Amino acid sequence: MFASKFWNFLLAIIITVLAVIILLVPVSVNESHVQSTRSILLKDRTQLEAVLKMEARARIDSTIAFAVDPEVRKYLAMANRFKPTEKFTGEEQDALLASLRKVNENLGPMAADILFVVDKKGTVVAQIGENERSSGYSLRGFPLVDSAIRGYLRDDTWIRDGKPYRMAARPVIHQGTYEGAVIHGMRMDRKLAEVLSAATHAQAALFVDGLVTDSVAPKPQAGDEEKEAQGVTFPGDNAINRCLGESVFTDENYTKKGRSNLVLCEMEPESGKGEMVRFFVTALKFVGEARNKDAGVAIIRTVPQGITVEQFIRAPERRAELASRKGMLGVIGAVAFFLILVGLLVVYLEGDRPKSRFLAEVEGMAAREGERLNIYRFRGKYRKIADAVNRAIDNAVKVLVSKATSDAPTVDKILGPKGTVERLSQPQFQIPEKISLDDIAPPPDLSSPPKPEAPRPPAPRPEPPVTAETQKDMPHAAGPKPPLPAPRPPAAKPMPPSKKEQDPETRYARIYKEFFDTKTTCGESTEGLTYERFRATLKKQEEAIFERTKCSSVDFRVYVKEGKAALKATPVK
Amino acid sequence: MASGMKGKVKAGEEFQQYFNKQAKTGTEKLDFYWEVENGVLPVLPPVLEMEQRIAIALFRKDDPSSTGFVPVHPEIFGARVVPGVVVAPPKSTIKFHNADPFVHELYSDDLGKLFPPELQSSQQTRQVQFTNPGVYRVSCRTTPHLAGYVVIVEGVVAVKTPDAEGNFSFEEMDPGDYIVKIYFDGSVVGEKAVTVVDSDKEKDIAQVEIEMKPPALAADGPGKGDGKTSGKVETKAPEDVAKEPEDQGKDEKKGKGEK
Repeated sequence: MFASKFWNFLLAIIITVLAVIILLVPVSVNESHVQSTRSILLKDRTQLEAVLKMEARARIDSTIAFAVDPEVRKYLAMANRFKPTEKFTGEEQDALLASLRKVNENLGPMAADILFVVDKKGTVVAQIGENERSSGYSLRGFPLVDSAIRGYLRDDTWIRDGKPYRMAARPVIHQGTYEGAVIHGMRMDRKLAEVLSAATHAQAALFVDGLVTDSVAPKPQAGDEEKEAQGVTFPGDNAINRCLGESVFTDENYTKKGRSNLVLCEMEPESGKGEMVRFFVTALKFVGEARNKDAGVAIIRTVPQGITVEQFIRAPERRAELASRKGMLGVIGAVAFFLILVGLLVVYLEGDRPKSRFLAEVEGMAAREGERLNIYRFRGKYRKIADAVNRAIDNAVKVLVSKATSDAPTVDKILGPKGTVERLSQPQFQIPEKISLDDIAPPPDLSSPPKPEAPRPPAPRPEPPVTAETQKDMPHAAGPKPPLPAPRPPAAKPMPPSKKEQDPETRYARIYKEFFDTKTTCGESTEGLTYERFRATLKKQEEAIFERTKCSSVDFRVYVKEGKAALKATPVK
Repeated sequence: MASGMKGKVKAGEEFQQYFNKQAKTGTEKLDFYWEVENGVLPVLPPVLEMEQRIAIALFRKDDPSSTGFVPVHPEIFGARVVPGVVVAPPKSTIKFHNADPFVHELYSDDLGKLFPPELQSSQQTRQVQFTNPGVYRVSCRTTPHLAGYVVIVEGVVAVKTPDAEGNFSFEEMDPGDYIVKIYFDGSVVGEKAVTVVDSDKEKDIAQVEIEMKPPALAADGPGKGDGKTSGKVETKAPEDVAKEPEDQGKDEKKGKGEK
């Protein structure tokens, strides 16, 4: 039974563990998704800052193409010689613009969207990209321009007519003197968002005045099928704007340092049904003057949603993955099947088989093949049951025997109560309720003819049981007990033989045998129980009954009283 | 009969150090990824443009009134406020004209809602009345480096801007005792008492030379704006500004904004 109990215990543990896993794993997985998304976005932010810094350096480096161009240097030196009232226009300006356009085209992806050439006072000599005929106005107040005309290479970000630009500047040196500077500007638009998204593999959104102007989701890459299967979607501009306005721009780090903490936002799913889509957002203000205009970049990562069983089964990508994992599933199935077989075997060995054996044993006993169950054929609980059944049988037998003997006619029932006047006769001798072993002689040798009894010397023997009534009748009841008289000679009046047993010796021998057997059955000791003594006592009692009841014969019956063998005499008229 | 005053402003050694340090760090935190020297020529030191950064204000010693004061109206040029310091008596209305070809968005935290950020296109003018004495910083959201200072102070009778070398002059002055104060970024960096005599001779023109010192070492200037100033801010189209009367001093005396 231990094995089956252990197996049931093991089964209960497995079921409990499975239930716990089913309940807790989704929570744990979702929490894990949140934490991992957060960690990745933190790395993204660091990477984004590095990308922006290196991109600024690349833009500064690209301006050297203008600064070393001979035409640019020549015309800039010429413009510096103009009087304050003169303006750099006409053919010279056209030639300078042509040179600038040519150089700019050769820059490829680093080409400027807007480019200024300023003299040593910060006055615009020429510009390309926007308002190309404009000139003569000053940019001196910009720290970027002031630094460049003094000899620095520098970067900055500007907001110009509401549009954000990332700027870079470099001085133009001609014949050993500073002649002015080249101011290079690139618009912060979708192209930059794409660069930043590609660099971080996260969604990048540019914003000005706190509103998203461009946002780009990362392009799918190898391994992203799993992300799609996990329900990764990207928030739209409205959701990002709401998150920025409600949570990011109010962040203390953002307002003070220009770099927000990671903020977890939610949005309605595209389908409008199901759980809210959660995504992390962190925002950086652009380094430079655009910072003051709440211009910056936000990077967004969506927390993968939990996958239901249905989604798991239906997702084709997951099916393909399942197919690749079939080997492992086979092993798991085999182990589960083996465990089930072990469980069934244990249940059969410790449950079903003992039960059927017990049933067969009980049925055999009912068919009289045995009176009791053999408890040694069973183990554990069934052995206890068999033992209890045996004891119940014993008790039932005892009750039946006791009842059967108590219903038989006795001398007292026939003659009336002993020692009362109602008693039909008073026997001459006292019939002890129990016959002492010492009073019964050994049985005669039935094979030889009976010999005439010779008087024998009195032998010491135990006294017969003495009752209060018998003590009255006995002459020496109060005094010391006299030696017992010698066995009496055969009765003068022979006992009438029964119909079946004419020979009294045969009858005495039969009664003796029955009495002897009953004592043995009852577990009483038969030591000292001899036939001679038994016969003498029996005969003496028989003669006494004859004399009292004047009956024709006396019938002796052996019975069990209170677990012991007893003898009853019944006069027969 | 009237007389005049000529003078010169000089930057003392301590002031030059103060200016160089300020030019390096800036009044605003200038943030950038890179600022490196070109490696070919040594970089030039920052230049103190007196005509842009300095204002010279004249006060009567015995008369706290500002009778006859004509305010200077700055313009936004080259993403700067020119001149960078405007000194005027209380209840003065100051106009800010955008001479740049691009948009500005001027505002003043010291005035709060009275001068909030507002887009100001090229050639457009905004004006605001400064009621209470104080120093008011004017900034721009699109070009945050831009900073102009409006100093509202009692008793100022005239204001001049020096040339690049620091020379300045006042003409048509009433005789009497005057105090000349030098303002740099809203702070007093030097002052001197001058007596103007009633003479039309060249030799009687008062001569004064003032050495600028860092604000902490100079005479106490007017306090910071208390933010409780009541004023009136208006934006005008260039054509409207052009139609305004020449004599704005009359309206200024009334303490009302112009329309």
